[in-house]
Amino acid sequence: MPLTQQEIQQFTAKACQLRKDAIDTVYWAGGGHIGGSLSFTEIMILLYYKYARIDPKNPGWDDRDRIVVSKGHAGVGYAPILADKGYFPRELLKEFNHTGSILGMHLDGNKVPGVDVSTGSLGHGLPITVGLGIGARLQGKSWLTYCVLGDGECDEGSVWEAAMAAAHYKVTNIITIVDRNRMMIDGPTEEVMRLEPFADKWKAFGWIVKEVDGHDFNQLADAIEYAQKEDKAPVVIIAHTIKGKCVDFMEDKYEWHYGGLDSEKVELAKACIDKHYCEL
Amino acid sequence: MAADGLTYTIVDTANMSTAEIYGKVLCDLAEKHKEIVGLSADLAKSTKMGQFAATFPDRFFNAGIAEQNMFGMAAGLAKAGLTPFVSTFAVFASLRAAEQVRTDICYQKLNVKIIATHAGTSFGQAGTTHHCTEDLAVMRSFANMVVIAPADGIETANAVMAAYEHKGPVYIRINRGFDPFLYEKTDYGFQIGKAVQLKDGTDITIIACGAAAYNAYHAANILEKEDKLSVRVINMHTIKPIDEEAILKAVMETRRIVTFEDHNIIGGLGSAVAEVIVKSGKGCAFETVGIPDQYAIIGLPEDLQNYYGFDQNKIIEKVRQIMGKDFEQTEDWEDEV
Amino acid sequence: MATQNELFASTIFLKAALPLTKVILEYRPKMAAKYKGLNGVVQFIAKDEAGNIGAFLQFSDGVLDVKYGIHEHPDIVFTFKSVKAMNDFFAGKPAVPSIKGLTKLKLLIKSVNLLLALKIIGRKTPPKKPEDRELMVRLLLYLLPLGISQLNKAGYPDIAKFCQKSPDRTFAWSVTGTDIASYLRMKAGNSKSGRGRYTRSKPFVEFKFDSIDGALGILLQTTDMMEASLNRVLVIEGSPEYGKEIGSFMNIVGQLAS
Repeated sequence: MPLTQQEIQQFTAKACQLRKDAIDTVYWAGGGHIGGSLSFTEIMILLYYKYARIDPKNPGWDDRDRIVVSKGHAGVGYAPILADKGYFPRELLKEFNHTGSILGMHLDGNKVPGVDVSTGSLGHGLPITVGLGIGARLQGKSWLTYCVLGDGECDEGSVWEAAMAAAHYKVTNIITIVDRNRMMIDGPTEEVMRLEPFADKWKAFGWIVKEVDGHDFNQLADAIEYAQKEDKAPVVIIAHTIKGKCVDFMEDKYEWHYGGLDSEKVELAKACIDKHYCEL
Repeated sequence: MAADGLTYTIVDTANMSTAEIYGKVLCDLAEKHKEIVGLSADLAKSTKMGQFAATFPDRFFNAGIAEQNMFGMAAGLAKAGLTPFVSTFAVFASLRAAEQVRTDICYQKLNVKIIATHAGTSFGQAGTTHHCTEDLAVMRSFANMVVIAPADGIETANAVMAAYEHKGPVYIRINRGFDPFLYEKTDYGFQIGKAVQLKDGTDITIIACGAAAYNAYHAANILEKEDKLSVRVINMHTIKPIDEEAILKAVMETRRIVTFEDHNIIGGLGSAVAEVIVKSGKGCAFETVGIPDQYAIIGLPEDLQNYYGFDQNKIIEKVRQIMGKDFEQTEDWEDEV
Repeated sequence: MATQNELFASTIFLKAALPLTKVILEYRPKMAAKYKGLNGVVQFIAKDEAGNIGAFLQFSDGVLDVKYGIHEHPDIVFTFKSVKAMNDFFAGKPAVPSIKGLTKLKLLIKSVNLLLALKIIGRKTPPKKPEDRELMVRLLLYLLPLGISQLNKAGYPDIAKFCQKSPDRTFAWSVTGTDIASYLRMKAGNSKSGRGRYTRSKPFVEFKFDSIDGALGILLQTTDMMEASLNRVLVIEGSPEYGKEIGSFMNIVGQLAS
């Protein structure tokens, strides 16, 4: 077990808190990509609270690990994490999407401390990650780059161009995680544009694939630690998740890719989350 | 080449085409500055990035025929603290990977230098799919981007060096590489954003960039000898930020401006100059010459230059035609008494 | 019958020199004050078989206008028996016109005074007073482009040919450090002269005199042109060949006016 009991407890509590934060942020923002912000919570917690070597007091630290949230639309889930880590005051979350705010649907790296790459348009994160990886290696640096992709995002050709290049250049100082929640805007991924056999595709491109339950901290941690050490080929972790996890009226529904919440739904959602974590 | 500083004379570059000079300059720069890396999309040989690749194999990355990824990688390399020089054909740099250039590089203000080759109709025989008569229009519209169209190999050397010194994204468009030399040495004071007045004059001003600048310079000399016309020639090598002062001076002092470029008349040098003139509120006889909003025919680049009106002879004809035009609104020929 | 040359000379006098009386009044306010409230038309006519030619001074409440042609009801008429006679009169040579309207004494005296003042442009030596020297240079620099333009319009061979061939170009004259400037615009046979600096484009050729006295020296031909350009008394900016051509036209005007 890569994680201690204490860590699991901490992270579980953190997951409960961050999911509720995401719900609140959607409310303050007047709407947000809530489905995908609830599916990647565990992934993000392990990156931000366990594995990535970062310093919120020094966001520009040269030797930090980079985190590329390629599925940049999950701003309402991403921002609360950065706030919680201390990159900026929590108060700012209340201004999400407001005119003049530094926080908007897709976080702007020019404005928000802690954002390494401004993403939002899908398919950009992995090529940049490959560049970061090569750049680090060329300069003899040991920092790693973590990239979190959406699965619908993998429709983009540029993702596969990057995959090809990563394998060709043996870029193993990057760790790629796909939030495989099987839903996109117009419907389930397999109905809109079939991805399966998904793992096979990565293997065909020369990657090592690890498939895990994206909501299981231990499985995720195992895979991440494996990826950190593997140097024969780049590793992709296909994290099987549920869009809208923990909020029963959102779970597994592509309609909740993006949505607004009135105060009643906010209470309902938070109650769901609490209930889920009480039952654990 | 001078031993210490990087100055190039026509002797050094005599046997090198425009692109070869670029390759050499890049190698010299990279020798001094270890953070320079190069990328190409399977066009290292054509874009002469091959020389860099051969000299610094571990600092060169071929992205294969995958331009979007190449520019994404360049962005990542820049974020890692390196200075990437990315080279491919202009049509692919500005259009295929347009979003990467804009979102990854310009929006995030990264230090990526794009050397776009085979610009305009310079790859004439290859046809429209390999021409690029839109890149100035596209790149101009990206915030934070500097857009340069050097007139010859020597100016390309200067542009590459200036691009390295500049903090932020730079787009340099050059031709296939067999341009004749306009300048003799590199030390004429190249500066991003400062046009070079190749020749002074009072009757009319030609503003040109790239291959058209060379043609314009020689056309102007002929016009002076044969027509006794006093033609000012401005090499507007930097399209963005454009040298507004030079344009306004031309408006005030010559009142006739004609632009020539190997680019669509929509959105390129001509449009950029027009924006300045119109903003000034001063009247001026003004015409733009370029590819007239069509896809260019196939042909040798020199023939295409003539076909689309920016070779030496066509420039001469156009100036003669404009000089017959009036720049005054009123046709009031009453003496003031 | 007047000769071609005589007609050209009359063009200079009637259409270029006479109108300068307006400039005199403009720059001699003390003198102009004496013309306040003056009304009347003073006509100059030269008799010629091919048709009389003439010009008139028209005072309206003290404001002077100079027009070419024959006025229907002039108050005073100076009639010359030939174009040559009129030219001689204006050139300061002996030539006596017959005068009608002698009763309008005030008008007569005032207009004669004005003509006498105009004689300043015919001087062979510089005036003593600095303000007179300035006026003389001003009048001469206005006279030159006006004269060339009028000769073009009248069809003077060399000038008209030059103008016909010319693309849109402007030639300028100026005295550095003063507001004395004039210009001549030419295009495809058309010409226009004007007072002041031409601001619409950089002149194709500009004659820049470094001072009033410097200008006088050259215009009175007491200073050698070569010497002048060496000493930078006169700087010709622009095409030297064209500078020479325009210089020759300036001489033509000068010759016709004397």
